[in-house]
Amino acid sequence: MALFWQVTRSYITPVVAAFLGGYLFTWGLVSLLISGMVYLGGDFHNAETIGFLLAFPIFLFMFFWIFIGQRRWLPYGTAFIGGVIMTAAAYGLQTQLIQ
Amino acid sequence: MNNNTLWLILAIILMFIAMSWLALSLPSHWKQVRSGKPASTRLRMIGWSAIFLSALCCFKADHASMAVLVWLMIGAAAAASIGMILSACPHRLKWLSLGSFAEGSKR
Amino acid sequence: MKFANTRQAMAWLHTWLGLIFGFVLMICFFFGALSVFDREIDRWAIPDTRFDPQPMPSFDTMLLDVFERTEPDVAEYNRLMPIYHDPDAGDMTPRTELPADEYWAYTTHRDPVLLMGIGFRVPTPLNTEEHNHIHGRVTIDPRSGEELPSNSLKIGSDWFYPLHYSLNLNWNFIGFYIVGIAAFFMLVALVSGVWIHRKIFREFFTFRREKKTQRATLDLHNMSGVVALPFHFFFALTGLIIFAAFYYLPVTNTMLKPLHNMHETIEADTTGLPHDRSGIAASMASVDDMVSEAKRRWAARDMAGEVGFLMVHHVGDANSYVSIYRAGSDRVSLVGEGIHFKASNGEVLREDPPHSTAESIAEFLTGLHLQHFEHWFLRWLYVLGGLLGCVCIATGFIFFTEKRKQQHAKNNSQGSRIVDAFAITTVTGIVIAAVTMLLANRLLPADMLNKGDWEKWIFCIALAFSFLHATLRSEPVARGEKNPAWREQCLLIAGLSITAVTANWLTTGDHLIKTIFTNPYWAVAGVDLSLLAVAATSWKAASHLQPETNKKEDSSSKAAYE
Repeated sequence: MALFWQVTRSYITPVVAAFLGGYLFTWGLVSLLISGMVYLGGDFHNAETIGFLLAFPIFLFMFFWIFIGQRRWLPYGTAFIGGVIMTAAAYGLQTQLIQ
Repeated sequence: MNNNTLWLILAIILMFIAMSWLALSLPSHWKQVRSGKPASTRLRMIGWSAIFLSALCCFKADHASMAVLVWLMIGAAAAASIGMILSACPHRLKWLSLGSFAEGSKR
Repeated sequence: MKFANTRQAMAWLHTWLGLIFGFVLMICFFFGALSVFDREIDRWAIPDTRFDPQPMPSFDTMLLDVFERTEPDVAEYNRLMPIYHDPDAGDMTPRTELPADEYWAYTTHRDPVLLMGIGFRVPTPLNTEEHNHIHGRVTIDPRSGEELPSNSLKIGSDWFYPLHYSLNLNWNFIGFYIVGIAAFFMLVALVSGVWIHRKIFREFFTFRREKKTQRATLDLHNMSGVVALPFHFFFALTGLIIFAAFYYLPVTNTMLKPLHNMHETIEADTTGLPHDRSGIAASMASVDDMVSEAKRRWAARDMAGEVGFLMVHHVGDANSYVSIYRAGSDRVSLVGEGIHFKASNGEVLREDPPHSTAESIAEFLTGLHLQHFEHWFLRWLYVLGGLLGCVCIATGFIFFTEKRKQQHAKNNSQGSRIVDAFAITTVTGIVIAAVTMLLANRLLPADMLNKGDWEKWIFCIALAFSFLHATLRSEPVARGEKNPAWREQCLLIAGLSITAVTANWLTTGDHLIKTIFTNPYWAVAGVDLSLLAVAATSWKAASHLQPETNKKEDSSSKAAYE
């Protein structure tokens, strides 16, 4: 049992953390991109398409940066905090646009 | 056999030769075929030229968007084939390692 | 977890994520490779459909009839109607009385048969913002309008194809998510693999088969990964992009849904294509005339073509419109150049304008994965790419085991043994399952009730059998030797494949002399020839895998991967 927790903590957790951080960052970036482009007068479908094209390369980069990054706080911070901020901003912009 | 097929066959042949030249430009593979050392720069130049010509043939055969994919995949198939030939029967590539590609040959 | 340097971190990621997700990715790559010819496998599996591809038949005289007599799917009705129906509005509308809201028909240059679908609407829905559709589907013979019997499973397009993107695990779409995560980690494995491959250019063509198994396997792993690197990378990436909006990054279906809905309404205004029904009934003009007009307009724009996809929106309503799309078989991008007609009088409402740059790129990327194009040579190159991917993953498994099994034997660890058993299941086992399913398709009676379901079960049982066999025979691996199941399953594949070809001949009369020379039908000939190629390859592999004796590691033995 102890071995299980040791394996989980040492190996699985960093992978999961990098995956979740990358995903959150990507979600935030894509939603802010879509909301932002529409806010600035762009076409919704076009914004959506650009978002999905950029999403996975960015996700991939963030995953590696978090997993391998030397100064832990920078990639983790960018991903998690940045992701939340961008998501909130996107949601805020949407609220503005819906009115 | 229509025009497009002929262009594709030419593309395949060019790519096959290109990949063998690029492979032979590496000393480890040149050694498998004949003694001495290869004129690597020369071989790589004509190898890449042949790859470029192969691309032109692909574009003559098909719509641009398909030509790109065909070209990349022919490259993969040719590289894999050359790798397998070098692994199983390298002497079959001897005819491509012309003397003038050996290092130090006078052209 | 601390790594000494980046290279070690990349190596760790590549080894462990490659191993774990490799088992899923083998299924994606192998069945993805088979899916290139999914329609052709359908023809093999349903002999009644072995005729030439047909253009879309007349809507007015054939398709409308079929649409009007097709009913909503029973299972879907039972599952969704309680969710969609507004309980305060009275009793649920009976299944056979649901009104149709959408018709669609789809065909490609490879299909003899025509796929048709209906979206039925719920008259009193709980949430009027949603689409609230319950579906019916039918496949017909376009020469006669006759339906295909419901017990005939399209083994290619309805089993192998969805297997590669969803593992056919449809409970809450869990299979889609497993494949999505696997696809992402495939990208991780590709990038990390390139990073750790020091001599990537020098060893581009290197396969030292005369060396020990570990070195030879690694050479083959590197070669198969690198020569088709663009293929492997782009197929994983485009697979993710295709399903991004629905499953992987459903931003616009969740958080930004209000924005999405707002846009739909704006779009309906700017395009002139009504978003909602008006509630006023109206009849439909001749759709065949609309099709002729669409073809005329495409020809006038110098892109003459056939209809690939046809859709009727808001059936029976004054706001009804018909969308007609061109089959894009001459280019990579998907069906396009849509023309929309007012259903009640056939007037052209809109011709789709050219796509924006981003949309063109997206159409190209999704098109290169979904392959609607007509280019047989490129299709076969795609199969090669898919099989190279399988080789890459399989040799990865074998390298992993070879590198560790001696050490594990000394330490009495069962690790290599377990990994090897899973490897056998996902390398030779999936081939056994596929061929057994095809064989069962020929041996089960054509009019058998639930024939399709039986075939699916036989596939799963064959895969389970392969795992069981691999596990039961795995003891030598714990001693540092080969698992005899590799060889035995290769022999089984060879036997099953030849039997399947023979069974096709005996049950349908379509033997290779006929399908290649006297009465050519390349769809079936292709499947038969591929089965024979599989038999030959696995026989050769089996002959290389010497039965275990007391001799030392034979440098000429090569691990099987087919």
